[in-house]
Amino acid sequence: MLEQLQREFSAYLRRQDEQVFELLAPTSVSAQQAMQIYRNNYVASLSEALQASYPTVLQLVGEESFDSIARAYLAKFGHNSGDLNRFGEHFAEFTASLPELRSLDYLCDVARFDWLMEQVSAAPHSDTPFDVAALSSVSEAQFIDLVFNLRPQLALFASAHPIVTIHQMVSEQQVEAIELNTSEYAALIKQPDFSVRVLPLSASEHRFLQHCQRQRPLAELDEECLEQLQALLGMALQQQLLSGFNAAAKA
Amino acid sequence: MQHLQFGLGIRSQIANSLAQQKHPAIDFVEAHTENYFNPHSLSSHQLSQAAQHYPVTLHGVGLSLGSAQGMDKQHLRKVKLCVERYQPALVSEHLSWSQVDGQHFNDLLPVPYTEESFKVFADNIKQFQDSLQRQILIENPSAYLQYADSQIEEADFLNQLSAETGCGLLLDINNVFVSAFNQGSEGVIAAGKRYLEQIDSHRVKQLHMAGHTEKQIGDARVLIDTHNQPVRDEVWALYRHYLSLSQAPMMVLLEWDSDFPEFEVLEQQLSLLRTHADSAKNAQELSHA
Repeated sequence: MLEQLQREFSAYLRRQDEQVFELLAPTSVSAQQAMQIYRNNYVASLSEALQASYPTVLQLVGEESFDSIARAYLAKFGHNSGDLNRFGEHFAEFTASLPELRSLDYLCDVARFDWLMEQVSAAPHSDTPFDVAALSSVSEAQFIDLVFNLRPQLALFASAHPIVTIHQMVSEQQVEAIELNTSEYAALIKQPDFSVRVLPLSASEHRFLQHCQRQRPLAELDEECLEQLQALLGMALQQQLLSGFNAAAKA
Repeated sequence: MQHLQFGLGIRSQIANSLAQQKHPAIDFVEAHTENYFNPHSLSSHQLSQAAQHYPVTLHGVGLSLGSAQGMDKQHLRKVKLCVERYQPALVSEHLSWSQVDGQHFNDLLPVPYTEESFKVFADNIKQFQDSLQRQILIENPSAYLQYADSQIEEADFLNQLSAETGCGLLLDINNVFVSAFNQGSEGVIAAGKRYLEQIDSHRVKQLHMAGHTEKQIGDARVLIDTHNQPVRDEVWALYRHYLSLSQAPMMVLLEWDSDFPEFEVLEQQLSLLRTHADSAKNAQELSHA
């Protein structure tokens, strides 16, 4: 009985199915008005959560469009966790699936960037110094089998669009015309004050760090990265992107 | 002499201020448990800092103790980790439900007060307390509707739950007023007083005080439990009435969740919590003299 009531209540909140009205007693407002208060709370609280997670998307599309996308997202996915911080995790792919946003094909990557910024700001943080002395003691023959570890407070981002530039322009409210078909790469790094530093990367820097993230040995790097290895490693160490290294496990 | 402590809800807008210093007007802070699931987040860091200045109480909003399908075990595990991390003075949840068939509603939805609901709450509360190995408090919700098949009055339902499970009660005085108003009670203050007199005051460990917003819906006026306004006069009257009934030591919380005013306004509200408590006690002493 209670389970059925909760299903009917849920059906109103999600689809405005009205069976639940039959279970309500009269008060100063009608059954529909009372249920609408709960539905408004449900939609508003989850839309606000999406707005907080996707500030750049919100700025780009405006409040009215964002609200309409958020309602469509809620209708499709609902909210399947009691942890509000997970509610927006499918939002980027969802924006890509909407026909009305097809002309804004970069918007999905803007959403991915916003989500990553939020995730990085709440990531674990390690400031253990990289053991440079231990690295210098590795023999030349062993060096190529090393696997480097990225710091846990770091995430990598790549897009076929200039998302880092768009994010910066929107954040600083200095939007100007730019070429949209330019690839950009970045590392997002949580700082001790919980802000996130965006470090622009070259394509080869991004590939090198992605290789480290996948826990692959240096020997498996592509030719271009191998040729630039000293510079790539130097950049990663200087920017404090690496926490340590270990020898690759033998197959 | 009744011992009262006065606290403030920690929210992102004021977290930095509470993390940085001990405000003399604040005896404790209360955090919404679900905002602190991730120990690496800024909010968790700020709560840890605030915990160096104030005792902390944890107030859950998402465990859904009234769910006929039972609680979400993963959610319960996260709450337990949070409780272990912050070692709060009190842990509380609501007399409400918020999830069914894997869907969560991020709200405090009402249940009908029936024998079946009672059993659901009692089982879930026992499981929650067993998991934490400590007592929890249950808060009365604000309601915008009534169910046709409710058979037990809310205050009795809470008293009986407390007797059955050993849980304590968190009495939200603003919710008592909001629900009485929205349910069309004749003489809202009198209905609120009756509710407070019905509650077993020995089981109440905490009070919540907050502001609400009045909305016009069609021809009717509805009170929405918004926590974004100063406490209304009628709610102060109920607060004084309750304190004149109870001798128990209690933690009294001012809740303010959005549209944050200057910090001085919050301090004034906290000061009023003390002033009204004093006047209730003076009236109580006079009546006993």
